[in-house]
Amino acid sequence: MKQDLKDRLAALHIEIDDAVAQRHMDSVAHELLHPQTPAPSRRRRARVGTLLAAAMLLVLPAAAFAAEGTVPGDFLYPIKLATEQLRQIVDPNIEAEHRIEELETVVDRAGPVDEIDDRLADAESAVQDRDVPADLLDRLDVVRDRVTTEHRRETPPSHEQSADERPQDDGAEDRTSPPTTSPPTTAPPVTTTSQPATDRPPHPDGTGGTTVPPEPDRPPRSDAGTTTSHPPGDRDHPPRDG
Amino acid sequence: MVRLSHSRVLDDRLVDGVRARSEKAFAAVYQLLASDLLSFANGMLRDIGAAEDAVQQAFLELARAAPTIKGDARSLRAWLYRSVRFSCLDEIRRRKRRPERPTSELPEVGVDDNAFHGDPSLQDSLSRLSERHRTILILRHVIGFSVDEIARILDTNRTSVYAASARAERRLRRELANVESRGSAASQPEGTPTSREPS
Repeated sequence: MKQDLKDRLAALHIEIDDAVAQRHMDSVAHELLHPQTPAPSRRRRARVGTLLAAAMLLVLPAAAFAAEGTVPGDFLYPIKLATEQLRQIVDPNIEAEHRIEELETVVDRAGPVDEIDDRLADAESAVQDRDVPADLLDRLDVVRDRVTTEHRRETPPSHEQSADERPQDDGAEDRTSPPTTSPPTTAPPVTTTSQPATDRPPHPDGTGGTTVPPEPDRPPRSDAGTTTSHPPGDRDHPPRDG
Repeated sequence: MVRLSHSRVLDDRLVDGVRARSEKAFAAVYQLLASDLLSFANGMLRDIGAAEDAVQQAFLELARAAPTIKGDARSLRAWLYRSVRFSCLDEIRRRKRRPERPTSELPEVGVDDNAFHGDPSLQDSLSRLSERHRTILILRHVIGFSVDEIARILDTNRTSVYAASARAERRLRRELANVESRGSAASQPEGTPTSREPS
């Protein structure tokens, strides 16, 4: 570079004005007397920003994935609704599909009847007035049938039987049979020790049968016309005289 | 005219005083470096007010980060120049985002004459260079830094600074010829033939 150009460049050097220098030093002195929290450096700010962006890229898809199987009332359900709004742009049937899935989930869990009713109403409103594919409608029909066959039956009838009149231990067969209004059958009489059991083989000691003790949870019924013979120690009260 | 570097006067005792947040040490450092920093910022921005703000910002950042400053006097000087350079780059980016618009109203504060003192055609040519080329030329020929010191400020090696400096000087000569030929053509009356501009 020619010397004249170097001189021209060097002539660009300027001296700072005294008033400006005084103003700068006043602000520096104030900063030294009242130190503030040092601002994070550019590199550190950039590093924190990168870490935050990476965390968001990892956490958001994970939360969206974890929220897929949630139902109303779950912690992540709002995330499912938010992602549903986005997915609806490309898949208009996603809302109906989700509502039917939630209904299926609640029915599988055998949730409360009120909750099942709510989910069923949501699913039906989601498919209403929309061009929903037939397979989704079939799924809704299937789960609706399950609701009517499995869960509606558990609701008590309007004319409830009293707890004393119901058969006490009839097993699973009674749960599937429809409720009946016929009077309950009386409990079978308890066999006494004097009556031999005809359906059992004779005892090897020649007594001719085994004694069947009364069921411990069922008290002996005096109105059955039979008498029971308990050992004195089994009675709660001493036998009355006469 | 080549200015001497201040490396001999900015000694390590001043740096210790800066680390201890001594106001006297800050005043001494400011007295030694403020004019050079202002010239650097003014060459980058062509705006004396913005250049003064950049210098003030650098010393305020130094006051906040003083206890964490590492190294010797050369490191402290490089730290201050880097701070001014980043402030200038922020200001340049801000101007690009919000370009100035012509207005019919006059500003309340007049424009400082210092902003235009010197060599307008040279400053115009400098402003046409890239930021890196401009930085290297100002640091080398306006402030008077050596190649090693420029490499320290720009956080690069001396080979890169040498190569960039040579390219920047060639580019500046070309831009200066263009600017001056345009200026002479504008001052000549119509019909006078002008010299061909170099490609």
